[in-house]
Amino acid sequence: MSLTTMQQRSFWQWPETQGFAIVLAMAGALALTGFENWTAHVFHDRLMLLESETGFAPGMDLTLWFGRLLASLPGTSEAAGLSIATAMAVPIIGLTSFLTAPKRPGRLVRSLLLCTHPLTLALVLGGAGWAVIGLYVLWRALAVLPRRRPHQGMAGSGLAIAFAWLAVPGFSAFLLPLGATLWLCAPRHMQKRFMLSYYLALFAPVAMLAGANAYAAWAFGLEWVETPLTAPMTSGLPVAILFSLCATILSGPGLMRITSMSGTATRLAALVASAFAATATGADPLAAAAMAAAAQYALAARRGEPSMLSVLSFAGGAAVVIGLGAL
Amino acid sequence: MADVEMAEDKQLSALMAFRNELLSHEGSVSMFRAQHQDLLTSGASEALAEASPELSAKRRFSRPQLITLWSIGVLILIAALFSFRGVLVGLNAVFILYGLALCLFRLSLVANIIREARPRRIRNTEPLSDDALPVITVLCPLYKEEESLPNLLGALDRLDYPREKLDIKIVLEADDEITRKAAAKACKPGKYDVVIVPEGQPKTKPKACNFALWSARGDYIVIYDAEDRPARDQLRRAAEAFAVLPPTVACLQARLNYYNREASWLTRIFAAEYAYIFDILLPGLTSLGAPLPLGGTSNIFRTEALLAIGGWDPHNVTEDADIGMRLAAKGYTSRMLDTTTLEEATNGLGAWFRQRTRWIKGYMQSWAVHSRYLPKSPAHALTLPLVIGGVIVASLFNPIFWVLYIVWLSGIVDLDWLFPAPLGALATIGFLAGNLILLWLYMLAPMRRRWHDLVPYALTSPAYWVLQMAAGYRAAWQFITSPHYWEKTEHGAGLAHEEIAERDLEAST
Repeated sequence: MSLTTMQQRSFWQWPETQGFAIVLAMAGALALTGFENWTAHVFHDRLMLLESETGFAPGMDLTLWFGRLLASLPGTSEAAGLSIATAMAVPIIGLTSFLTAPKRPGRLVRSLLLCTHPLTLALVLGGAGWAVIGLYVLWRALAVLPRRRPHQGMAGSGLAIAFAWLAVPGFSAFLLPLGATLWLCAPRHMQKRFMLSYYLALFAPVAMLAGANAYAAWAFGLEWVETPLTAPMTSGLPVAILFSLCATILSGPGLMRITSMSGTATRLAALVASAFAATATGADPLAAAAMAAAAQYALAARRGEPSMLSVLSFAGGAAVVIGLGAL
Repeated sequence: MADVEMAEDKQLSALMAFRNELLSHEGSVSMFRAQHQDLLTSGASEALAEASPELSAKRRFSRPQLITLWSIGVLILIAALFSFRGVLVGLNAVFILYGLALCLFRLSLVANIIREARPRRIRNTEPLSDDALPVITVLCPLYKEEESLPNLLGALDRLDYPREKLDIKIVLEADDEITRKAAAKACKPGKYDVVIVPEGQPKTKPKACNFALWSARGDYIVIYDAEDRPARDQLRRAAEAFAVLPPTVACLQARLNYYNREASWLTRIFAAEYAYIFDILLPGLTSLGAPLPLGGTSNIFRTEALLAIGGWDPHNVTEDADIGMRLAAKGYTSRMLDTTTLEEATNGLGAWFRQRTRWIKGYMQSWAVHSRYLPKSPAHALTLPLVIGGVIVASLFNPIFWVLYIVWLSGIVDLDWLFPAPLGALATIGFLAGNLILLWLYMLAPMRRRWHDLVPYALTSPAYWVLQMAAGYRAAWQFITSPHYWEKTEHGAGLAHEEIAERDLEAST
């Protein structure tokens, strides 16, 4: 990018700024999806409740895990451990944002903004600071996935999905919408023929983690923990929905290839159809909308200048259509 | 010791003198070589063993190693008399910790991929004019591969390198009448130097290469096997890289993979494995500054460095991996060259099995040889147990742990005492994570070449690892009974360059 191009951009045209907005939107969506619980309990009461609800298990909440780890240190109470683990999220959010961004001006400012933003602080104080980190890492990885070399992008994104699953409570609900829209982020030459390989490599780490979690629970006689892999089996997910999800994933790339239909309207239709199919599995519309926005961002970034307007329009459009569908 | 040093001086000095004389010799090279056949023959077989016996695989174990091994064995037995279970738990703990270290190492490879770690990438290379290019000796050792010869010569003809700067040696065994006849027809004198290696033991590829080594005219030496199809610009790029690299960089290893990967399930997994080794593992080691267990072909050496370490070890059946470690032991380094040579993968199960047996046996030899001295650096210390040792442990001990683990889980036999806390949890992590991370790496590696069709096949790689375990036990048996026996890998005629799919050729450049 030339200096001239850089100077012509307004603050909101910076990809990092857009990413920042998307992370906040995603975190907001997450907060809204559990609004009642979030307002009923604050700080460690909320965490203790979460713990009693879920049982202590890997893959549910890193805040709890770190809290427990710190509490095991001599002289540290459980409440203090949880407090420290929660507060740890703030500098880590800043550091993650700083380190994972390309070397561009303003990344320090952006990191500070991200750390001190009221919504971030609210999430951190609510015990979900690690969720922000998880979502941020996921966004960074997916945003660059189409532009990186396949094995590099896939390795980063695969780990990011697994990490988000660890860090974000309830991330399992995101997985299906994420899967349904993720073909949009596929490297260009993979879109034509290799969707199976794309999905296998991308979801392998989270599947391994979930499988290991379920296996460890069985092997050591721990309490059963629901995982993304086991959820469809235990909840009796209708086969028809699975079929519709698969069909969407498979047909999506086809839609993208039709040049005469590659306008925004078609992409919007494809994306909404994907998200709709995924949302029918029980995931939250707002979560799906946030994922759609992220996917659109990645798509726009690959094709040229990402536009904040198009990202927001995608998110808004998806939310409206999905919301109507859910009604 | 003094006698050995005398022998070292004599043998190597004589070979060096021969080479110096040869370089100024204006007559027929083959005649000159014939006049010094005895020296070359004994030098090819014994020079290294006499000069640096501790770096040769002629003996399986050195005396200090045997003493150490026996001492450990006796100590374990004595300890077992006091607490049999305690000893087993201790041994179990050692292997579990080793497995965890292997997991961390593999995770570091994933991290390397993500951060595009190329701190040791060769930079600032500039194109060299034809006049400025150095002479390169190309060694092509063949044995009963008369069918492959035409395609090999075709591949060499395609190299983008001035013909007068190539010293191509077709290295044949004296008892290989058929290939000798084929070479006599196909190899024009003056264009190719056909080297006939006299009969004698050990009968190995490194010995044949050693025989030809001392008559090399090039500043650099590269080996190509009969089934190799190097990228056209490979040697030119190597020369350009060497021009900017320090003299301590003794070898550039090109990436290897297969052009016939779609032939069968076996070749597909083999290709995924090679992609993992040459596109992820070796570059990962390079970025750590660790020595590279080199591949068998397409490694371009500085001739001076190769001569200084006494050439290849004729008694080691994976002389390639060994020489990378030996260069490091003598203070040299190796780097990866970002260009590919496509080869023909063994397609039949029997041929694959024999080849894999030889490789694992050679790794056993290399592990034994290179644990005789202290590593030069932490990274050097890493390569031996985790990369070379990893193959051996995975082949020999994984099956034992799988059986133990399944028995433990099934509850048929009470083995809880063998996995006291926290060993049980650590064993689970090591067992699952180690295998799953490797499986994922097998998925990611082919993507670098855009061979996305191989990704689903990577899921079946555990079946491939089972085959490797069987080969591991055969290798262990051969390591005891016939450590220097070279099981020749059979290949077909191979494909000509024109027959190789365009996308594969693109992926090789």
